[in-house]
Amino acid sequence: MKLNNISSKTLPAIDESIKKCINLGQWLLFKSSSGNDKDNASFYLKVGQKIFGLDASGNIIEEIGDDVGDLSVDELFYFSDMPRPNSLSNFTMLYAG
Amino acid sequence: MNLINGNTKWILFLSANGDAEDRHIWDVAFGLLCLEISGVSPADIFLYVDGKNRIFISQIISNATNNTYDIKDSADFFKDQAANSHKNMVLFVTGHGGIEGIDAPLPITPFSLLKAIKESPGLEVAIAYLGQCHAGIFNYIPAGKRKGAWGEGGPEVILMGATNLHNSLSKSTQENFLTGSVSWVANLFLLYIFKWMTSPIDVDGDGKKTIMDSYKYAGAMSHEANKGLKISSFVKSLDLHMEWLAAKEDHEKNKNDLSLELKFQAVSQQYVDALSARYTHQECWVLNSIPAQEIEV
Repeated sequence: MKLNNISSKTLPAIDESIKKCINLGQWLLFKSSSGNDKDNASFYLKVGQKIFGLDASGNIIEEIGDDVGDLSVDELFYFSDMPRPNSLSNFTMLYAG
Repeated sequence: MNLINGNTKWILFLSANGDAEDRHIWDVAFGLLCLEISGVSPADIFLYVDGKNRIFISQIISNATNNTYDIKDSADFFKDQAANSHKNMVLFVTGHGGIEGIDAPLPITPFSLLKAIKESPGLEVAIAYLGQCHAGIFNYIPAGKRKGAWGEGGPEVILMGATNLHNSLSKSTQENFLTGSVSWVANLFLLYIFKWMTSPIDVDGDGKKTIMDSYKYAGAMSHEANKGLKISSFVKSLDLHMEWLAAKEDHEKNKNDLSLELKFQAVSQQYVDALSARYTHQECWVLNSIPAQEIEV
């Protein structure tokens, strides 16, 4: 699985609130090499178990299905110019209380 | 005794009635990454993840390892334990939990899990880290080795829960995997248990790095992260309330607009997560703590 960081301007049609969910790791934005010929999706958005197909600008084309099915998740995308969560494993506890 | 250099079976366990959630699969992947970093032999690591999308599960796991693992269903765990050949076992449980037990096609009750462990042939010591919600229903069960409490006693079983009878907390984090930096909503207590495994510290100063130290470390660290989460979510939820109202209104005016529906869902998710964090208490616990002070990682 390849991980990519792209500018949010690359996919201008995706709403900022959705981009936040992607960067927080709540939803997955991905590309698949095994995409269904019937959908013309350039990207896929995984929301819980549901999959949506997106065009090259990020417009939502359609709901593809209730699960990822046979789609291989080959590339994941995050937005480089929007906040990502801090690493909790590098969090240092200060003396408190 | 020493776990990593001993005859120990390390198990990452994610059962679900249906497909496991992505975030829980990432918990398993992070656990695997940490176990390999800590020097556990891949031959001693066993993965159980439920869900019909086996390729997707494998692809997530592949971010954590260059080794190949046979990822089995949760039901296989019980079959495998009946043919156990290890002396020790360390079990990490992520996923959902409730009053019925650990979420699974047939929910796993405290006694069904304890029975599988106690009746594992040749097993002497078992440690289970339970990350799921309401993990406290697994407390106050006959886990010790004392005869009579569980037949002939069986192995010494130590149970640790991320939370008592409350929900358990997860929070977005960003961690380095082999393929790069991944964001997911991680189970806090398990994340710090895994972190401790990679670089164990002697919290209580007894000169040993025991699993009791892992409990103290993960408990204190997850509570501290939880405090930070509650503080930041308070401020966020004020802004999110207005965003949520606006997104809801837009969606209700245009019910057929898929983009507006997803935007409403995105804002709702962030809003509900912020509110849930503020109103969820988490307090970890350990059962059978005396042997836990002697078992070194």
